[in-house]
Amino acid sequence: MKLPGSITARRRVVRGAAFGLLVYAAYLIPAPLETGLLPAAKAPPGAPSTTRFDRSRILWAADDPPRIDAYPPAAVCRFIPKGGMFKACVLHFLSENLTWLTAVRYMLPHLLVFIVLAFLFARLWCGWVCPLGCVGDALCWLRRTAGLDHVRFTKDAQRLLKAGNWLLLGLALGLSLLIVLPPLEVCKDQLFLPYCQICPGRLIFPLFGGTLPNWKDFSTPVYGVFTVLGWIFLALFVLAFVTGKNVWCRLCPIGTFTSFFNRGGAVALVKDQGRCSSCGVCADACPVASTRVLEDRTRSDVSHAECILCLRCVEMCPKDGVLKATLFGRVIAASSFKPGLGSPEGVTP
Amino acid sequence: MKSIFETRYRRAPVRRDGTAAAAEIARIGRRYLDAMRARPGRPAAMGYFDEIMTGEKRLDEIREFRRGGGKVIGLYCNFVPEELVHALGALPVRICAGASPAVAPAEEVLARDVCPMVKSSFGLRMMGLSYISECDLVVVPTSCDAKKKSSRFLDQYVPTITLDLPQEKNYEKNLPAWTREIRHLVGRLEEFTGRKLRKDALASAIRLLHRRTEAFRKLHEARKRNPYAISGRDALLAMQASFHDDPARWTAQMEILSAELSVAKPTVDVSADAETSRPRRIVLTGAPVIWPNWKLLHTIEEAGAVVVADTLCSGTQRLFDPVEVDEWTFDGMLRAIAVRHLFPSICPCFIENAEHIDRVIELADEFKADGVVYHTLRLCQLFDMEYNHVAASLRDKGLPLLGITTDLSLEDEEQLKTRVEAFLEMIGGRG
Repeated sequence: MKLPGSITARRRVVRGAAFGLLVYAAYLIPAPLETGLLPAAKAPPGAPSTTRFDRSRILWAADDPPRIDAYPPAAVCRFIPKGGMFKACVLHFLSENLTWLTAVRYMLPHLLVFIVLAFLFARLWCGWVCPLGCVGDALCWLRRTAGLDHVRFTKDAQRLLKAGNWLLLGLALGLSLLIVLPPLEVCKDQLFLPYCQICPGRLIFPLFGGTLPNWKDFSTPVYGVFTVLGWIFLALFVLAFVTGKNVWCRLCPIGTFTSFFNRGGAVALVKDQGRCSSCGVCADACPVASTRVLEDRTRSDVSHAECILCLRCVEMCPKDGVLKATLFGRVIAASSFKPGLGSPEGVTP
Repeated sequence: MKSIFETRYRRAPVRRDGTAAAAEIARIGRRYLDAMRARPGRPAAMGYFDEIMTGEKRLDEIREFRRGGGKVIGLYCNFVPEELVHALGALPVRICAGASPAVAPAEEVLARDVCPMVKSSFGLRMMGLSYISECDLVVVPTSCDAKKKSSRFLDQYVPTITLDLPQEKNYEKNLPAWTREIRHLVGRLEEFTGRKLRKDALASAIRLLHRRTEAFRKLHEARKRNPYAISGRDALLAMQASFHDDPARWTAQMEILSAELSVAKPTVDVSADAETSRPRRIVLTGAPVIWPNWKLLHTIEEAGAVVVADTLCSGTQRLFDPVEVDEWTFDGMLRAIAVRHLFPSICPCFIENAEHIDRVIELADEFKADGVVYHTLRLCQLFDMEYNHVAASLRDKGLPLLGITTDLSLEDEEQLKTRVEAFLEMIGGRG
């Protein structure tokens, strides 16, 4: 089946629709859907849990339960107004379960669903679905409309992002595991879900429901630190998207889990090495500032961990069939030389 | 505009009378053109390109443009973005030349053992001939020693500026410097033309040349036809008309030519026993072949083969790659232009140039070629040294290869003919 429109146009439609569904599900679907397949991951008695917190805390509890009690591989946030479509993101899921050490029968179904979804679509979740990325794309659009150039991150800056990504992931999961032990135990409620507390999504998503997030909680020193870190991360998020296209996605620890499936998953980014003329268009077009597709001159599958599979390189490549995206080996997008230069990504002159 | 060169040792330009050379150049061109026209089934649309390449029409237009205050800017190589020149309302002309009668005068000023192509362009300027003599400014990329060093001498005749080309095509390492260099060029061109480079003008220029590439790609596709629809000589002549023609008009004429080719009947016998006698399909690679130096093309095609594809910077490489803009901001466009004018190049001036081998193998495959001819312009060390690398790789692929080292002179035509015929015999074509 041949879909109409450019890859970018399709991506915008999918992203917009995904954003609408994930963020405004509560207005579309009035009651939670009882799938019955996934038993809710539950906090054991006495463990820190978001449901026990009031709205004056950083981790306030949503008014409504999510419509589907599951954790898909994208930033579908627990702070989405009126509960949202899904429970939370995978980092939230892993963090709370590391704290609770929930029985395998509660944890495994969610983990399996996550692995299957990540295997199927890898970081297409990041490039096409993630609602936080949708906000970022809007920021990019603002910059382009203003006629400003983006900042191309150097390899050194990219290495810094990678280090930051692993550091955040390590801290988020490590802290979650360790807060039940002394001496951290004394403030385990306050250290619960550490990444959620500083994630830009916590401050951004409530705004879409017309409520203000708790953006200044200085009730304890720990919350104070998280509050300030949250501000810094929001500033970094906005700055990254406004100046440098989607480089934030290379820092985001949520995307790390799906990135494991970029190679060896169902989706592949395939390059015809012999026919590539190394013209550099893919590197210039890459929203995460990667040069891997251009510079990999040996492998056929050029997917790599930092790629968010937005397929912009496939769209921009001016040689027929040199770059392709495949799903289980079936071509879902292929490059072609396009007459007319009607790029929807830019401010058309 | 202030010269980029030191003025203390500046010399008055040496000039030579070009009457005899002009007649000789016209004679050489006519001889090759007559042979091309004599072949049956030549596309009628070639008439336009013949006129641009051999007549005075385009030169007269350019002179008229200059009389009206227009600036003509001469460019060497594919590295200087024509988009910038168009966007500033000036006219770019490619000044690479292949006229052998212009070589000898240049040896007086440059040196004897210098690239014949550079000497030819230089000699034309000394004699006041051809497009280089209509230039108000020349931009020379530092792609090789001959071009780099001759710019200093060329500046005695016409204001000349250089463009510092990186020696590698490394995205991280070389693109920032190259983009800065392109920006610097923009500044120089703005200063020279007295205009400001405007965003919409730049976008229009990118679109103009993107359309040119679109039209060219149709010719490129038509050359894949088997039996062939257009000879290599005709195809390259049409491509090289773009060196100085108006891009919009060239594009329109190229569309007419490709339309004619798409309905043309095969010019050769396609019967069952034709396999042994069918024209052998050749990919031409290596140093640029520039009109009227049609010696090699003429020899190959008169011997019964056809050049179906090429990797020449004076041919396919000039027109195949488009500027693809990711973000239509001013900087985004400039970066796309910088990327286009560095990375797709397969010039041997780059330290690592595996793409040259890739491209030859790709074309041989896509165009169902029977063999490859590698042209080395005598005194071009770069193409000469790259030959062995390319040759060994093609041998591994089982692609027959003929290496030809020659210059612009016509003295070795007979010797060339013998070698080409022997090669065609070897790959099973008519000898």
